[in-house]
Amino acid sequence: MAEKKSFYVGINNKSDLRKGLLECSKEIVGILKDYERLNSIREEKVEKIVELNNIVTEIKQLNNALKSKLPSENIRAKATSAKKTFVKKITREKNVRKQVPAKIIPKKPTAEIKKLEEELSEIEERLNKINV
Amino acid sequence: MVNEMPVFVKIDEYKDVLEVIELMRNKIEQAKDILSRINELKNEEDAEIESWKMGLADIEQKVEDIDNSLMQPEDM
Repeated sequence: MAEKKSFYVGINNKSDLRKGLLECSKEIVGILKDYERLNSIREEKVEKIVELNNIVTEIKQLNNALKSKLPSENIRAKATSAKKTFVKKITREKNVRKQVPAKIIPKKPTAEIKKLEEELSEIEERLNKINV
Repeated sequence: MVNEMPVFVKIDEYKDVLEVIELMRNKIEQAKDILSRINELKNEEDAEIESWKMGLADIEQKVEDIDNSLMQPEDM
């Protein structure tokens, strides 16, 4: 059985080397501490974004309520049908007020974006009609 | 022509309209505050990432120094 021979290498500035290793460990622990801090910042950021989204939803509901309080654009052109829509809008507005401040229901984002795009194009169309 | 006609709102509804507008104003203020906090958090996040970057650069330098000293063994 062959005898295993060990070789040793002498190291210059051994105290510097030890110091360097310890400083490395210190830096790594510092980075891990930063990671924890970053995590808590991100958690708070997500909470705030959800809160902001809820408020924007509430503003949208209030805007719809405001819209229903004001006469609709075609109220003069179609007096009878306009009256019906006005009543409908009032009841809808009452329902809006009863609603508890929104909690986010996770939906498929693409469907939500499509819905919002449709809503946007409808609003733009109506704006164009007013500007003509 | 229809657009130029005056718009009238029932007086009882008018009061509601003012209330709704006040509510909207409050909500917008809240939204502004939250947005400002989100911006602060974003800056804090950026600062943390920058601190990581600097910490990693320090570690890299120290590992380099250790490697150099290991590559220059003591003369016998």
